[in-house]
Amino acid sequence: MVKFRDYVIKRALQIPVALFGLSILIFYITRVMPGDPVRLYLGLEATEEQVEMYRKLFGLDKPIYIQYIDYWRNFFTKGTLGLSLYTGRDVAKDIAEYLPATLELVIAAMVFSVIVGIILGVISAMYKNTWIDNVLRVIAIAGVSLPRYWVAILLQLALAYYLNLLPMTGKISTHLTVERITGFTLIDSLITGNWEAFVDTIRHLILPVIALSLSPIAQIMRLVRASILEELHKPYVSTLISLGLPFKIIYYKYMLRNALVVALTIIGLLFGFFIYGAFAIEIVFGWPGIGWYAVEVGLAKDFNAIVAVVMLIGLIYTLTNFVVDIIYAYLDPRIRIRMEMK
Amino acid sequence: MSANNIKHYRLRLTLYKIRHSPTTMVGIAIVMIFVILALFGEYIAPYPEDAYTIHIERKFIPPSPEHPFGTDAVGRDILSRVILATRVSLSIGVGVVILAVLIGFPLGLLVGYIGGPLEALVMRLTDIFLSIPSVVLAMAIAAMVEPTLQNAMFALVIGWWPWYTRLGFGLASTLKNEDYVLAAKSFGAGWKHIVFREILPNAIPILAVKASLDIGYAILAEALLGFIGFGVRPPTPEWGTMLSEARIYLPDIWWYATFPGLAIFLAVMGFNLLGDGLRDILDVREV
Repeated sequence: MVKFRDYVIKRALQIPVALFGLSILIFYITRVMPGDPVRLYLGLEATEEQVEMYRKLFGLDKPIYIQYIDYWRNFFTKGTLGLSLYTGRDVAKDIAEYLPATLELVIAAMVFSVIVGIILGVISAMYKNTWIDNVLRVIAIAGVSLPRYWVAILLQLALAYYLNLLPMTGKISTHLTVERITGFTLIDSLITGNWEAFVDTIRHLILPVIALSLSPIAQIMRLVRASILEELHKPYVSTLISLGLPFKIIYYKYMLRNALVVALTIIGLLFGFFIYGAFAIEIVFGWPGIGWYAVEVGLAKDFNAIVAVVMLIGLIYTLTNFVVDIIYAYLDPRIRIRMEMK
Repeated sequence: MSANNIKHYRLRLTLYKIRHSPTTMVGIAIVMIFVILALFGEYIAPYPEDAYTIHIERKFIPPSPEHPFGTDAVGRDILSRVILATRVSLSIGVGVVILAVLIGFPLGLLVGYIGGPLEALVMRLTDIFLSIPSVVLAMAIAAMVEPTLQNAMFALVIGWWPWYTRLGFGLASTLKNEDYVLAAKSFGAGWKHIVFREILPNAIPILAVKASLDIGYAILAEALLGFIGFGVRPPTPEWGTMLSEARIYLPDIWWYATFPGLAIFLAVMGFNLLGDGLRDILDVREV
């Protein structure tokens, strides 16, 4: 197990190295590649004085490496992430405001797609090569090919507009307000006992969650199906069958458990997908989250905000991948042994 | 059997397997239709001039025999624009994958075979690019550069090549211990011969499966860039951009949002079915 610990440490050390590289890359993309980000933002009509003023205000008159050092020094000492061109506020404040809405959406979509994906995957494997399986497999391929924002628009048209079952856009109806404690509307409305707001938020969540979950459901379903079928060919299954154990017990007690453990590792990988999948979904549903913010600041060429959003997503993405890798290595002795041989 | 006969036999076996896999056939058919539309769009579209010409007098006509997909806010025929947009989406999808393969894959094979400090350097470099979803990196780049077709492609390639470096690296690290590589080595073959003549041909099936799936995902990513306003700008016909314009006129003008999305869906599904079928036929399990 010492070797496993070494692997964890080695793998953990890769995270700061990668994020350091990413921070340089994104600094280069936002401040060097476009030539002059302020000129780009202000447009051609801006006078030279205006441009100079903005450059001073954002510290762009200094050499690029000084800007880089200042940016991170300000973050680690003052907790600021620079001024946003788009909102005119500290980017750190913007992120704190918009992040909870995205996390709420993403977590809801993850829970939903894991449950539905596993159930459909198990059904598909159980009825392997029957029409049920074939239909589910075609749905799975269609599911990963669907543009999420298009599904979002169609759902909005059908369920919200024509059938009037659910709200079209927004996170909560305009006549309701929830006191902001955690920023998670569901939690805040529960804490304050605001039952009406709680139900209203859930109604607003349904369409974005479905639109965001379709493709992950398809992926989880395919993976669960494949790993169950793989279990079927393993020697322990034939051993248990020959010992006279009923297949149902083998299936539910051993195979399913093994298969699901493998399948669960994909969830971490899907987390990154959910985060950027939320971008277009938030636009369609007017969901006030990081995705919506990212698109707005991107269109405004708001370099400080772009750097912060990219670093935030990079941090979340590398950490979840790290956790998945560790779990996977821990569960799969082959990887552990391969590491020991190296 | 002579070597030629074996090749002939293998080809016939592959073709046989393809013919007996309905989903692969459907995938090939869809992909071929889109390739034809991309190549000869001007001759197939009923109103090819509608890529750029405005006909205010016939705006927002619902689907009808003259305009099966209806017309948009300035009277352009949506069917024609969906057809003409195929070229943009397909060339970005195919272009991104070809460039990413050319940059990433040989590099991965090379460092996977040679190893050492070069391996550490290249793999840490890929870690940087893979520390964020490719599409998010592409968005950041696309936001800061001019919105042109080439730049959209460039932005996606920057995020995509490391995946092929990883793939090439993984393949080379496994294949370098195969008997035929060791045999070539014992005959005194250099790294160039081993990497490009021994390892590369055996890595092609996996590469083909991954690439055909990725063309679909690249089309999806490119349409997403267009939809959120970071891709090709209007009036260039492009599926994602058309969808984003269509949102303004919802819910009344439902047909404007429906058909460009359907085109994205079908094109991506075509490449997915093809890649999925190839995976079974070429018996590739890793991807």
